[in-house]
Amino acid sequence: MGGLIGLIVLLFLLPMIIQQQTYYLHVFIIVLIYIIVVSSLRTVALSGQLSVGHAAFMGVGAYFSGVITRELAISPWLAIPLGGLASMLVAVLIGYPFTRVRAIYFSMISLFGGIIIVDLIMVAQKWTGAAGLANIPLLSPINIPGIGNITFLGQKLPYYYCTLILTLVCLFILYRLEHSRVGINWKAIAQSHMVASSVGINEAYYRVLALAVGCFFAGLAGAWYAHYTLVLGTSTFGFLPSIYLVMYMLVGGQKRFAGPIIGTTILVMVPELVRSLKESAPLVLGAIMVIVVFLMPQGIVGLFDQIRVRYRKSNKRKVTESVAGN
Amino acid sequence: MDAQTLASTGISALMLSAIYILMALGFALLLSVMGVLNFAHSALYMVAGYICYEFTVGFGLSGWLSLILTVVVMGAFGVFLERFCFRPFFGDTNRIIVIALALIVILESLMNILVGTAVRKVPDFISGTIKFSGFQVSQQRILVTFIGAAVLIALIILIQNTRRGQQMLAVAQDFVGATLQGINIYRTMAFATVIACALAALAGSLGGAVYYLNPFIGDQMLVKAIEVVILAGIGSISGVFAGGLILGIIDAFLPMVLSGVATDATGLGIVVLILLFRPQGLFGHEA
Amino acid sequence: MVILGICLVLVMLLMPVLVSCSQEVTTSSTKAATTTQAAAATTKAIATTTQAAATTTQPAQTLKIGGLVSLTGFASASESLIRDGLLLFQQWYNEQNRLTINGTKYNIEFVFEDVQSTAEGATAAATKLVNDTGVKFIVGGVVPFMTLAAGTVTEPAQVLRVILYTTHSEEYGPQTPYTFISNDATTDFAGPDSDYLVANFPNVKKIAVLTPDDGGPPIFMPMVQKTIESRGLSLAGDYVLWPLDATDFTSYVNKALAQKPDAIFFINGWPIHMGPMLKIAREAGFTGPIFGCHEDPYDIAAIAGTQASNNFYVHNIQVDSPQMTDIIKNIMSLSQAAYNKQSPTYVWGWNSAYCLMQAIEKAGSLDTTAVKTAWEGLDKIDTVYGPGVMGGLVSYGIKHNVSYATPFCQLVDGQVKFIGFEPVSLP
Repeated sequence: MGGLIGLIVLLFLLPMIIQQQTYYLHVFIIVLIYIIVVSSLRTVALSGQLSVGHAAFMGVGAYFSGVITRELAISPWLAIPLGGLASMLVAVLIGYPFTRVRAIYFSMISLFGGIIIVDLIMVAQKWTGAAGLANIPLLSPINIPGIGNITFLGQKLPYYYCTLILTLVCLFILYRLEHSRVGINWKAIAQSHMVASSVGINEAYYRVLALAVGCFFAGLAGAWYAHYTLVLGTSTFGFLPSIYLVMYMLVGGQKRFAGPIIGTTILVMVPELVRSLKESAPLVLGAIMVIVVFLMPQGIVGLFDQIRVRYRKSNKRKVTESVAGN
Repeated sequence: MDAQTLASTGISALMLSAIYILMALGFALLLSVMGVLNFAHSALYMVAGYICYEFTVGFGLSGWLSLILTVVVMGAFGVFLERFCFRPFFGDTNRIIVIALALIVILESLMNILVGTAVRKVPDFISGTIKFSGFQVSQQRILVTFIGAAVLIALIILIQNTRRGQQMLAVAQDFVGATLQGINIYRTMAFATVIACALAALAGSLGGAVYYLNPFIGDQMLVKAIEVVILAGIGSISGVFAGGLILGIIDAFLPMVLSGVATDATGLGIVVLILLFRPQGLFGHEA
Repeated sequence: MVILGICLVLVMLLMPVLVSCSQEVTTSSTKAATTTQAAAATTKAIATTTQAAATTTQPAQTLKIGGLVSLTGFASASESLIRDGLLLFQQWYNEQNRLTINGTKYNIEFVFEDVQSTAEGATAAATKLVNDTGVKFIVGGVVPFMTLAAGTVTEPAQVLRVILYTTHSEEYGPQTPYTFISNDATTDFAGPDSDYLVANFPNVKKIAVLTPDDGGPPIFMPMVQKTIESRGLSLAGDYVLWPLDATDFTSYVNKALAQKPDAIFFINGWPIHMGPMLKIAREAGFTGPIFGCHEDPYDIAAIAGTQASNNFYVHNIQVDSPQMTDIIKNIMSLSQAAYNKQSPTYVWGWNSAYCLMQAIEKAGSLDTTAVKTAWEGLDKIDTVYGPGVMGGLVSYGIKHNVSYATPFCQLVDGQVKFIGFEPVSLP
């Protein structure tokens, strides 16, 4: 717990540490946004549904918010949660008919669903501009009593802090959900849907709930992303990005809550750090994946568990030896 | 629709079906025999195309020899794949997904570094058109269709009539039961992987001749392969043929009616709709 | 069995390397990565000798120019060549000793960042260049959504940017005051193409259009239609849209052919799209003239094959034609020496930097606003294709287009034949 608080304090002080180098602030903001998305993917996966189309739901939120702020002059602060709701709605509408579909069938249908959603966004090009949506409004200035007026125009720092706060709030909600009754039901369904049903857990309801929650946060993060980058391209939400999201989660480790966080951070930051390698940069990514998959069965978080187990074992041996010595 | 358009689109539908089935069958084999969701199938398709190009253009071999050599080389790669990428993680779906994705990333970027800037295409196996009374069609497309169909039929006969093939079907049906029968699981899995890679290699070489080569042509093919397998239903080998045919016809004829991106969405939408009513696929077993 | 498999795998991985080292058969193959490094090394070597040879009292400063190109992803096939062309320009320009500002001599140095063929890649690359490296000038931008994304970073920072192509009015126009375009683009070709048809194919009356579904057509097709109709031609039917990730173009080409056109325009696309479409059209029996935009004709011929590469026209150069301008001939000999390859795309990239440097020289300052004003005021500007003027006020709403007589080539039996330079009107 103490370590967690220390980490959060560090994150707040981060801009000072890196002396506000704008490029790295940009990278951190992107990492934070994707942490929300991948964590929400894990929430959906908790109920046994591995969605390989999650990036599309990020896209729904992004485009919805982008379009309504462009066309209807709504404030982005209002539009962003609406983007999350839109994504949630789409997820429920699509997910509900497929609650009988399990395991790999579900994953593949989610893959198709993701592609269809992005294609439909392109079909609606009158509003979404097909390959690119431009001129999305920035976050409008806010007035915080005590601090004064904060504008977002041309400033990375306000964006960083707001994104950090958003990410922490979202992660907190997801964490609490996972450790609540709802989360326990999700895990029950994932383990064995038959046993869960026999105990009275309504599988369809909880599965749709998982989808709704997961896609709400994905859409929320997507809408936030839209008002940060101010330009959207369908390439960001296609099937390859969806597969990458799954990869971030698996490499980080699916079993623990911190898995997606660690996985996303490493797999997004490292390619940015090795930008100078130009064409060879993806190879570094591939190398990391190979190392993780061979050496860390539970993902990177699994590594910590392995170390902890070994530490405890050696401690126990020390105690036994000292007791035996006496 | 006039004769030329109908003929051209019809041949296209058959050819697409053949290529889709080649890819999907390999994918289905890996899925049902080994439980492996091989995302790297796209990379196999692409690498095979480039290898065929190297044999034909780099070494100057004849088109047919290159084709056979490519299939052999990729089949051998299948042994490597099974031994070092699939067998260590057998049963752990998550890790297999990660290693498959790692393969795609590494192979695609390697190809991009080595040959990325050059626009390449496997030289036509035969060029020119056959002219009929009202229309003309590309000879190569007809040839590709025939090759694909012939190989697939031969393969099905092989699978159903040889011991290895039947062992494969047994493992696909019931893994534990097969081991109890004394079937060497690992050898069967290697066999399945080799066939899958060889099929992808054939598809990649033929596709490389009909279309073109670049490091990313496999991505679209992977989606099609998955579509066919899911449509057919997991566990059904013969269903893949029907699924491939349906998808080939949809992909060839739909653009005539719809426009632009809508064709992609609708094609997939039809597949999803079918799955809505039959979630286990057209021929699959109840999940 | 396993050992055999491993050996074969190693052979397979080594093969491309072995083959590339042996004698090349086709014209369009290269080991771009290693030869680029070799070229960069040569560039550095020449730059240092140039600096040593300079006898000015002050040591030469370096002006860093950003290069936004896709080195990975679908756009990398073409944009890597743009990067290679820019490196050639850098070497040549520094040898000329042309840039002296306020008494200080400057050498230029390109800093490239990988756009990764995605919008978010463009944003990240632009952010790195503008904020981290601190460049004030950037070259690069072909595909609309990447250009748009980069613009969100470069425009507010008042970084002067030269893009190479435009399709979408949102990516380039009065709302992007610091963006210039150094080459003819989508709508500029319809006029010369129509004129050529009228002059050489009097029987052609109806034209079918195949164009990618990327949001551009609803915007530029009305303009194209007006241009065609002003020459007495007409569209054969609705323009046919094809999705960007299509691999088999048969049905789309068939749709266009069902309109019974006399000629076909491929408006926008890459060789990987136009090549197959050309092949399919010829295999279906269509013998009429087909026009592309400005793509690499060699790549298109390589994909379409010798039989289909006939009666096809595109606004690009024949690399070894004696009618090329001196600059182009020079570029081709430089690229042959550095990369063992001659590609029209090197010229394309070179041109953008060439125009930029003339504007900077005219301004005599490195302040981007001053350069912007100076560039707008340039009556005449030299391009690799010949003399050019600044235009675009009426067509695009902003006078930031470099307009020149566009080269025109034809494919005959798979060979590229230069026709001439066609005047382009860009009011």
